[in-house]
Amino acid sequence: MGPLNIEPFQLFEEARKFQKKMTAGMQVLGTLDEVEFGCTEKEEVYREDKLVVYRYKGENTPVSKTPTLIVYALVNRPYMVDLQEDKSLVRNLLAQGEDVYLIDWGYPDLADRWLTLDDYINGYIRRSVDAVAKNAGVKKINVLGICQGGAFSLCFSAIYPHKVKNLITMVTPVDFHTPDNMLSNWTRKMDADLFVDTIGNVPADLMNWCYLMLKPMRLLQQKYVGMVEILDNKAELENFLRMEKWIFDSPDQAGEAFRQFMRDFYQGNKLIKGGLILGKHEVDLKNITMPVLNIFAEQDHLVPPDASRAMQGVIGSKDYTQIAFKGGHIGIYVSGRAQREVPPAIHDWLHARA
Amino acid sequence: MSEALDIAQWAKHWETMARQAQSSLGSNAGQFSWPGSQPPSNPWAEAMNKAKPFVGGSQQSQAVEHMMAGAQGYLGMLQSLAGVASGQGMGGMQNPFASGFFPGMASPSTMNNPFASAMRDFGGQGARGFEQWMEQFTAAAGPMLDQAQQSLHAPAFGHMREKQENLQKTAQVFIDYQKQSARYDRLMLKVGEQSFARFQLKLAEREEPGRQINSARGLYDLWIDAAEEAYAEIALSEEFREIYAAVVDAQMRVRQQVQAEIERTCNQLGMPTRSEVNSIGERLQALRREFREERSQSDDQEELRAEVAELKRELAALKTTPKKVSKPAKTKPAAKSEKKAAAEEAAPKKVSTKKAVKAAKATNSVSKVDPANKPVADKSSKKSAREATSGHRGKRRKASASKASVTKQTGAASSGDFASKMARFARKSKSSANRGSTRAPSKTAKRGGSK
Repeated sequence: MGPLNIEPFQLFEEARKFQKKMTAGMQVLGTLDEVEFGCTEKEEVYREDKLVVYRYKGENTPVSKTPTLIVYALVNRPYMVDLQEDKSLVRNLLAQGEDVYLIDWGYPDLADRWLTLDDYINGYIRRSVDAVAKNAGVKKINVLGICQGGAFSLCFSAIYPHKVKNLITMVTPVDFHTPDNMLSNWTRKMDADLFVDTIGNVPADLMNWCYLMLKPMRLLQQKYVGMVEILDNKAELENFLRMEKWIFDSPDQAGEAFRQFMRDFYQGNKLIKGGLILGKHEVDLKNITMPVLNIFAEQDHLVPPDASRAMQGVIGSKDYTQIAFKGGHIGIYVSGRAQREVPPAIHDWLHARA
Repeated sequence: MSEALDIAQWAKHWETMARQAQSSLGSNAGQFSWPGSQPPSNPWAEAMNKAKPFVGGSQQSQAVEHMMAGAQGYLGMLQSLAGVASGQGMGGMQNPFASGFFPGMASPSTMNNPFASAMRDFGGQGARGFEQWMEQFTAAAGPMLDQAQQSLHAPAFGHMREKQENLQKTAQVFIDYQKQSARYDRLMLKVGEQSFARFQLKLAEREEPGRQINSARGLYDLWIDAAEEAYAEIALSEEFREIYAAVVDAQMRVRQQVQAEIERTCNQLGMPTRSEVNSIGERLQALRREFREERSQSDDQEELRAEVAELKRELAALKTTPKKVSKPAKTKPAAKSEKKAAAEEAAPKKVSTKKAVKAAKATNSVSKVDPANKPVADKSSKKSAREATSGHRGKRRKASASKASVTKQTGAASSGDFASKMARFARKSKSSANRGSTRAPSKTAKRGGSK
């Protein structure tokens, strides 16, 4: 007996259904408007260059006295944390009583070509943290770093431990040299200086293409064959397109910051090995003595779980908690499971350390 | 009804349906640029291609383009399967991979390998136009590449020496890039081969009854799994790391060389160049950084001033608090101290930490806060002031009623709290002074000494 058990009729029926779905779907697609994102009301509390810090407004007054500042990655837009009503980390945290702020980095352009990691971490993040603390009338705040923003938050907390009450990291790489880290493998021998000196700011399209090439068959082909299945469902289709928008709505990367991130993090692995210098400060993870919650995704193809797990033992905190989420790098924000599990876990952990 | 007849009927229905779709949705036969796959040479996929309508916003259009491209590959596979089924019956379907209906699977070559051409698009995606350069270069230099390579090492001389050297260098980086690209393509061919081998293994695992694949979609998904696994294995290898870096670096050298040529031309024409813009940008960023640093220091000083004022008030309050609470005269020094604090606010650098700590140690009594002396700082400072005063005062009153020793303990706790504040202040002053020292070393050294 062979591996296939497909009757010819069945095959044509499958093809017919596929064709029918596409025909119907095209008509639905024609009726859709541009998708919108971001569902939670917010107010601006701080602005500097292209950066804006927002405070989100929940339906109720926050119960938590310590505000939480979300530090998102530079490589994508931060509205992923507040994508739509039923897929919003922010909304769920607010519902739990947290007071949530977020840094929106904006879209760097040529004027930002020379921004360094020192500018980002000792400059933008520090001033954002100060602004949030001032706005809330507290001395210390909670910092929630996501992905690359998590790595930045670790650096910040190591340099300014007196400003951070609790640190939460989500899908954050700490060890950049785990054997399953594809991005790291690709960049390890590249000439970072030649790369940045040549192209300056790293174009968003190039970044997107690299991410797609991590799983080319799945992300460039299979996903869209799967899209046909939902073509006749307007709501599902809108969700799909919203995700598509987020995936490809990427900012360019400031050249100097990219150079240093590639050289010191991906190539030198200095965050964990030591020797990472940001301006006048050397980053020593042992200085991170505040409570730390580390959440990573078990099926993360961008930041392998081991890259995050490595945090345990290298930071100075004695109060370290880690949560392994069953899902991927994006699913940790937008999946149904994430909505049920992640915000309550963060809130409970913070509440115990309020 | 025979099987062949049924299939023919289904096929007829299919074609009718495809025509209907085409006519109802318009005949906008847009061409796709699907990385790695050749335009399908089967009517099913082509019909779908022609059926692509013009849809709303840009997201939809992009998504539709991707979807159509994915669907083409999928429909191509379906049609191949159908061909096998109608021509050879189920016997032919037992071994479908032998016919090769997956993109990048059969007759792998650098021209139809999806992984290889994806890498070629890497340049095109990041900075458009790169592929056109390469095409132009290949068209111009390709036929006489060997001859060109020999001449690249010939010494340049005469008044065109510089120009000739630049041209030689440009040609060399193009050739290097082609070589590295070819290495990358060969590696990606390996992915194609290994995908195929892995797919065979996966199919073999499905021969057991109950595990057979019973849909075209199931077969397609299995192929994708096999291809991804094979790709991941190679993409995580040392070999990939080396070749990937080589091809990217080579591409950057080409870009850099072309940029340099353009700059030279622009210079001759008196036009601004990328280097000049970069130079201005770098200086501007340095100024922005310096400005922010200055402002940040000024903010720190403000903060420091506020803290000094708060400490002074507390100190004054501690001093004025009568050991016997009823003495009103004690409030006078507080006012004096307040004036002094205000004076020192204007010159916070002169505050002697040692003195302050000494004062803190010396002060062992519990304070009574004058409402007028309440700091105008933020909520937290008000709160901390309350905690540092009234709480201890309450405790002290209770304790003093019973045991003197407890009073002493409470007083010690209070002064300890104050001392820790002073120590924090000392650290802050020191760090502020140190920061200042980068700009005015001699003066700040003095200041540090005074501490």
